[in-house]
Amino acid sequence: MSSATKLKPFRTTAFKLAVAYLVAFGLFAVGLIGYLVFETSSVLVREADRRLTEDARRLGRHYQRGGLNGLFQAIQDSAQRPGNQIYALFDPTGRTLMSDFGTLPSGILDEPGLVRFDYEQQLPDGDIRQSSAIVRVIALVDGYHVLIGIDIGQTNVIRQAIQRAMLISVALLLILAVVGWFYVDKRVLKRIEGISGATARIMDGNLSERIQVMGTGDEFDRLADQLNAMLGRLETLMNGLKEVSDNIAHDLRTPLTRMRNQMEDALRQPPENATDREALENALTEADKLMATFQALLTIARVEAGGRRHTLAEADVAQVLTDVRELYEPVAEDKAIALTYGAPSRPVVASINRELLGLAVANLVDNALKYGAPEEGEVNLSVEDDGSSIRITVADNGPGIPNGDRGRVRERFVRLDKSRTAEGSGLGLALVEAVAVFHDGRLELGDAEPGLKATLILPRGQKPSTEQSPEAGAPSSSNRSPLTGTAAEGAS
Amino acid sequence: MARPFTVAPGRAYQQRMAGPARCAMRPDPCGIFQEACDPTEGRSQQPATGARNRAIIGECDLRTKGATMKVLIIEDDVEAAAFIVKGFREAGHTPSYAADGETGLEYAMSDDFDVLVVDRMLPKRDGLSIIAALREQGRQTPALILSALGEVDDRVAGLRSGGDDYLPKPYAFSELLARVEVLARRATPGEAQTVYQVADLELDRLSHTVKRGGDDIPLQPREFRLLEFLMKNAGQVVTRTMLLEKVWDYHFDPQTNVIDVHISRLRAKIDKGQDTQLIHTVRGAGYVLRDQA
Repeated sequence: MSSATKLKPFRTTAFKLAVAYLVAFGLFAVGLIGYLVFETSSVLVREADRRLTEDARRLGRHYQRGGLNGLFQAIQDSAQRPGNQIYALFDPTGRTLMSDFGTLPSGILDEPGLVRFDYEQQLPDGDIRQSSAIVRVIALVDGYHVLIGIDIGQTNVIRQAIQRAMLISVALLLILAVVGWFYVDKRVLKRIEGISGATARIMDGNLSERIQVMGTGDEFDRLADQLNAMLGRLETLMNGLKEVSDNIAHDLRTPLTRMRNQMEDALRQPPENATDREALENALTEADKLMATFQALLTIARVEAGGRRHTLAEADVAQVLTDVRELYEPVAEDKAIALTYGAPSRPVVASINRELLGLAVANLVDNALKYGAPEEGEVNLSVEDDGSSIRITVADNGPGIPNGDRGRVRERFVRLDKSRTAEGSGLGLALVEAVAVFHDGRLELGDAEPGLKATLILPRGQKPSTEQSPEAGAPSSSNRSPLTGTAAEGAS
Repeated sequence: MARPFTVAPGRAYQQRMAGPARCAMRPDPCGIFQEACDPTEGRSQQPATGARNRAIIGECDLRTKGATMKVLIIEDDVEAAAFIVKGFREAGHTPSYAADGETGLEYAMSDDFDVLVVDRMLPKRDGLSIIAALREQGRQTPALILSALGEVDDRVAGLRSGGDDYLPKPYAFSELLARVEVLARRATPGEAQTVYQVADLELDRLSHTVKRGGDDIPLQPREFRLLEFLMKNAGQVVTRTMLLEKVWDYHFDPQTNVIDVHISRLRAKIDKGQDTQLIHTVRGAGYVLRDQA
């Protein structure tokens, strides 16, 4: 009902989206890199296999041509060539005749096909470094074995590099996700908050409110345009509804008055019998109630139409309250309700429409007496002037209005009494609100703990409060002096 | 050009109504003047009708002075005018009628009326300028302005231009009648009384005292003003709206029973324990303070 609650950052769609994207991209990155690693190593193995096969064939040819010595020579030559080939030669007893390997796993000679293992490499300068190799064992006809291998220590370096890249990219993704979330949160959420704020104000009754269009032509602007168009249509419809009810009130008032006059006319004739007379009199009373409702509706319509700045005149707000209190005091007394007003010591002179303000305060007091204060309860009137605005408060100690209904009760014909049997037209607060808006002010409905506290807030115009005699606040059309004594008198 | 819906007041009126041809013609489609067609009947019937009517409103003569008012109604809405004319006649008054501003002003200048009832918007000349023209000529005939514009500022404008009362349309006839009667009463001399007396009730405006049968009745200031207004218009029906206007100086519709409660309080102080009740309620209209006898 009231303003939209602040969005929780972890419950926003933006956050959920950021997390989802982070997970998806992370999985994708890990998969991609994993695939890359797998592919590179399998390519390496295939390449090693090819080279080893080729090398074996070459060495085989040397062995056939030059025997063991030829083979030995070929190995020596090959080792001299740049590259990562490594060799080892074993005699039939398994003794190492020559080897590039520091150590060799046992039983390696019995392994068929390609074997991959880690070893310590003997560097030419005597150093030893950990490396791994893919090797193939070739058995020669006379029991000798040649071990041909390719050092793949380089690929390990590549793999490590890839792993590092993976970690870095995941970290980068995380950072990007957080940055993206902040961006979405700050910029996009701000616009969404703007939209939900505007809708909240619209729901509070300000149908002329619109969502801001940034002019960037993005999807939010499109959404805002669409929503604004919808609001325009809604406003037209609502105004139409209001107009219809006002027109009905206006158009029915004349025939209703005629009807009332006819009844009055009939009552003026000599009485035929008592029951007819009573029926007529009751009908007359009902017609008066109906007319009062229409009158209230039309008054609201007129006041809402506004544009009557010239009806504002300097008058004493405190005196208006005194008048209203005095007007309602006997009604309150009949209900054993204490109607009190702590009148300020000085007049509160402001530019007001005295009639309308009187009507508004009377409606608030009437409401408080009718629906608010219980038997032997109390209704308090007060006025405060802080220089920039005047606050007129009518508080009762009755059941009050639940927070959720405080916006609704200002609408025409809205009554909290569901059965609508209680007295009244449901126009009182609508009228008060209209009068408040007429004075550029507002009506606040709060909690008097217990009870309803209705505050009419009228902003002061440019004119600050000045020292004025009480007479300055009295209506110009009246030449009587204001009754200053009544305010001080209690509800005796 | 003929003025089919207008009737000149005074002598001219009677002359025109005298001939049987007039009656036969019946130039008035809405029947305003049908009853007046037979002058003898119309004239002789009136007091009886008035008495009967008054008897029903208050079971006694409302106007202590018993005088019939001469009222000029200037209203271009024929149907509304017919109703007002009929109503005033039934209340025992002598209504005359004009349908446009020029004719209305002409009649108002040529005859002495007790009260004028002037529609604000009229053909040829608007209501406010009629009143202004009359005042310029030194005629102080009280005038009530009828208007479809019910705004407060319209009321102020109406009263400022010399109107004495203002009634927004649509209105209840009882409201109009009560206001016109009060206006007529106000115009009569001897208004500036300092002491009002009705039966054994006495109100002194200077010493702010009220006595009933010689006993002091203490009243609060607003109650005093209320009683003062009722006594000033003793015998006259005053409506709730009028009371709110004259005693409280507000023009909005009084809520439900606010004024009634004030009256019943006043009544308790004035009439309680007395043989003769002075404050009476008139159903559908308002209140009247009068001597029962």
